Amino acid sequence: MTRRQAYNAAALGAALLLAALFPVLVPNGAFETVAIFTLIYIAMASAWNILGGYTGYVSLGHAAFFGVGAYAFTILCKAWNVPAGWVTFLMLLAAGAVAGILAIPFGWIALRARRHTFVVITIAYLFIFQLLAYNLTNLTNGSAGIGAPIPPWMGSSFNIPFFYVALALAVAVIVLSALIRRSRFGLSLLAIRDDEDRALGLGIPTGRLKLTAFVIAAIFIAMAGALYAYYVTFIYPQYAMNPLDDLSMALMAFLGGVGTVAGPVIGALIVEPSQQYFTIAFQSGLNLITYGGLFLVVILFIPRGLWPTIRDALKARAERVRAQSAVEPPAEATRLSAKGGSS
Amino acid sequence: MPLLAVKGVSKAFGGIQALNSCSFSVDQGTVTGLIGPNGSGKTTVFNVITGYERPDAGEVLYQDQAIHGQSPRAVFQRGIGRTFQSPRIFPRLTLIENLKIPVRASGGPQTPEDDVNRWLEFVGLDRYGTAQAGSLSYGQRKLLEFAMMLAANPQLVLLDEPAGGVNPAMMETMARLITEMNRRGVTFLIVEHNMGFVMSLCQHVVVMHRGQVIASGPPAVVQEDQAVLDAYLGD
Repeated sequence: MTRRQAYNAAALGAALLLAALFPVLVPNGAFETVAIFTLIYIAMASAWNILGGYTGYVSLGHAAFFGVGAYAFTILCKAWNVPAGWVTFLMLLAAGAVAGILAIPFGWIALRARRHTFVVITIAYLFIFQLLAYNLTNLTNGSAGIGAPIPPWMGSSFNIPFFYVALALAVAVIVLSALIRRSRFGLSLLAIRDDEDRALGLGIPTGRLKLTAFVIAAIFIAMAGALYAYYVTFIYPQYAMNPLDDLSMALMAFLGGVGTVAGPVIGALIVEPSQQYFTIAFQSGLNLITYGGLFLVVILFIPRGLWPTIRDALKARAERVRAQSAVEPPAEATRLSAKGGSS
Repeated sequence: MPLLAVKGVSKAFGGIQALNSCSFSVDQGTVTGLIGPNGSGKTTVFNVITGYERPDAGEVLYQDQAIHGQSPRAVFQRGIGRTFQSPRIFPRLTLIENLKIPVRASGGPQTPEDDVNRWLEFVGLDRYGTAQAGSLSYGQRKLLEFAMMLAANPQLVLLDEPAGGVNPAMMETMARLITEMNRRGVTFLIVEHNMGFVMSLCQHVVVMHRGQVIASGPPAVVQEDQAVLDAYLGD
């Protein structure tokens, strides 16, 4: 292990430890709620980034799978009489599976288009799913909403299970994202992002790989949706399939650094707590103005996102320092040569 | 039996007939030049051969098997590689990552680092292995694209204007690399406007004009062909 790798591993370990100790260090229900939502968004933005960041296919419809996950969770829990408790969290896997299966035909159709057309098709998906949630009343109870199992935990312990499951989900998606980034699959996705036709001409099965990324993103976003449903205990079509969630995922990824592993995490850590703060502190509409403003700032001033910009600035600084120290003679030599010159 | 045979291929884009019953062949182990004035259909032939365009009529045979209408991926997997007029690399990936893609896609080693470094060294870009490909100069991008093609271990390489827009030193390097790879058994079909480059490298030249082949043969013979002179000077 190189020194840099050791440093990175230590930093990651410290961050994980700090996150795990958060409920102990900050035993406050309101802060825990913000932390849970932030972790859910970290998972969602990181999953979205596997498609939008690595392949360059910007989906503004994956919030539909958040809703699919939420509805699949509540409907299956009812249908299978799943008791509320720790075991209920296993239903996140079932919700992910339902979304994954649904994502295959929808992804196959959408991915036949590129760029703006793809974006428009995915937006259409979101509204199709939302309309279905409103109108399939036998299944979803329509605009009246549907209740998930009521968690058995009370008072100050209520948030704790959700916090740790959200943390586990976020860590799982980050690890998966990092593994994909380093794999042959990830390299092929990045090649598709840079020049899809060229990638095809170099033997990459672009269609299959894009669809795989689409489905992976859908599965984990759906699991986040299922966790959300269990946490809030009641879901409505307009909140479970919310266009703002699509904007949030994209904004978080672009703000932190789209196409990087750390970018969506950094973006979610900035956007979600500030969004919650703006919603509580001011009128609810201010968070939307903040979204718009942030998007503009990112696109105009840091188009590559915070993480790549800071990383490159630090690299450039380190190189400047190295170059400077290579040119400047040591202090002792300077002193001696100055003496020699005066004698 | 030729390695590649283009037989009566036609292709139209709306009202423009880009290829009109175009036929020629490429023998194994040769360096063949494909020349002609601008708009004569050279790049369209490349696109048809490599699966980027589907022909309206005619056929393309590779090792006596039809490949026309197949996807670019399928054509690549048969052992045909190509470069583009304007080099198409993956600008946001490093040089090493750019080379890993064809090495792995062609069924090369799972840990292709040795292969990749060998090819970077071959084209003289080994110092820039970890740099982003987008930071390379135009000529260096051409060399990288050339290395990417060779790393896939193809039997036939189609080069679209390898000497276009590069300085004389880089052009010399490119000619040396083509000669070296041809010596190792790789067959080349080259579209090029630089006649000096074509005449010094190619054993056989095919001349196109208005989507048709108007002459073919050794460079010295083609150079004297009246139809070729008319096509270039205006008939």
